[in-house]
Order: sequence, then structure tokens, then C-alpha cells
Amino acid sequence: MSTNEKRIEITVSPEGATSIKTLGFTGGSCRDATRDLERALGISSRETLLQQFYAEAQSSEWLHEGN
Amino acid sequence: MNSPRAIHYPRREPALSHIVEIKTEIRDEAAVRAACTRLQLAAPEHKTVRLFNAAATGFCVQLPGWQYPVVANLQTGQLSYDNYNGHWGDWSRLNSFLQAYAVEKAKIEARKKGHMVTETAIQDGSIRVTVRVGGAA
Repeated sequence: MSTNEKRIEITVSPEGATSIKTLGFTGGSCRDATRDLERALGISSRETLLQQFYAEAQSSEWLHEGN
Repeated sequence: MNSPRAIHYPRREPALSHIVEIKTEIRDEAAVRAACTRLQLAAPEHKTVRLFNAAATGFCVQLPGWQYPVVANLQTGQLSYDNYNGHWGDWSRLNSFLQAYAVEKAKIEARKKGHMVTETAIQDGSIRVTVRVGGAA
């Protein structure tokens, strides 16, 4: 997989317990990506945020210099 | 006089991942049917059945070796069953059904959005559905 690929991994245990993990999303977009899936599957019981690495986001800062 | 110049400083933002744990609710008829097909069970039927000492209405799934069917109420997402604490039906059969339902439901929802989906069996018995966001269905 490419490092920029956005993935959602849904893991279902043999007991039927489900967890959803996002990979490759920037900022809060990971939550948006899974919201519908979470609602479709059932009730969210616990959420853990993971900060895995830093990536250049779309937004940027500009510093204007001059007189 | 020098003209102003702009310097571009890319800002680095954290690429966040998150993990959400879900308590599965059985609400989708198509996923119930797909789970039954996956487990080679008889197709579910919507009806009222008598469990040991109560009646229940919903989609009835007959699990192997279970004396009474499992009844899925799709409006509430809840299951009704009576396996007499395992004496009238093996818990592992119900767990397998819940696993199959969640896997099929996840695949249905991902495909609705046009994402590419793959499924992998994990050594511990779990099943992983990988959704590539933006990928072809």
C-alpha cells in the first residue's frame, strides 16, 4: 500500500466484537470517514485517538516579508 | 524599494488514526441474509415464534444445534433467544452469526460508498475487512 492511502480496517472478533481503525487520514477527517459505518454497525462504546505520524496537510502558512 | 515577498511554510499536521469499538446491533435484513448464506444456514424468515416461555417476532435464524431460533428485531437491533445458558444451543454458533453479520454489514456499507473492500482471515479467528477509501467498488 502507498503511505498516502486512506484505509479503514474493520476487525470482527470470533465473538462478534467489532473495532474500526483508520489509517492515513489527516486531522479530524478520520472521524468523518467512519461515522456512517459506526452508525450502521451499532453503538460506539469506546474511542481511542492515535497520533501515528506527521504528514503535510493541505493548509499552509504564508509569511509576507517586505517593507 | 523592495517588493514584498511571500515565503511559504508548509504546516505539518498530525495524521490521525482512531480506533472505535462497536457494540453490534442487528438492524439490516440484507446483512442478516448475507450472514446466513455465508454460514450456510437456512434463509431467515420473518415470523412470530415461541421460545421456551415467550413469543418473539422478527427475522428468525436457525443456528445449527439450537433448539429455538434466534429472533432479530430489526427495529430495536436486539436479538431474542433462549439457549438455556448453552444447554439448548452452543454459544459459539451465536458468536459466529454475530461475526458474519458484522463482516457482511461492513462490506455492504463500504460498497454503497463506492470503496474497494477486501477481507482477510486473522490467525486468532478474527476477520478483517479493509476498506480503501476512494478505491473502486
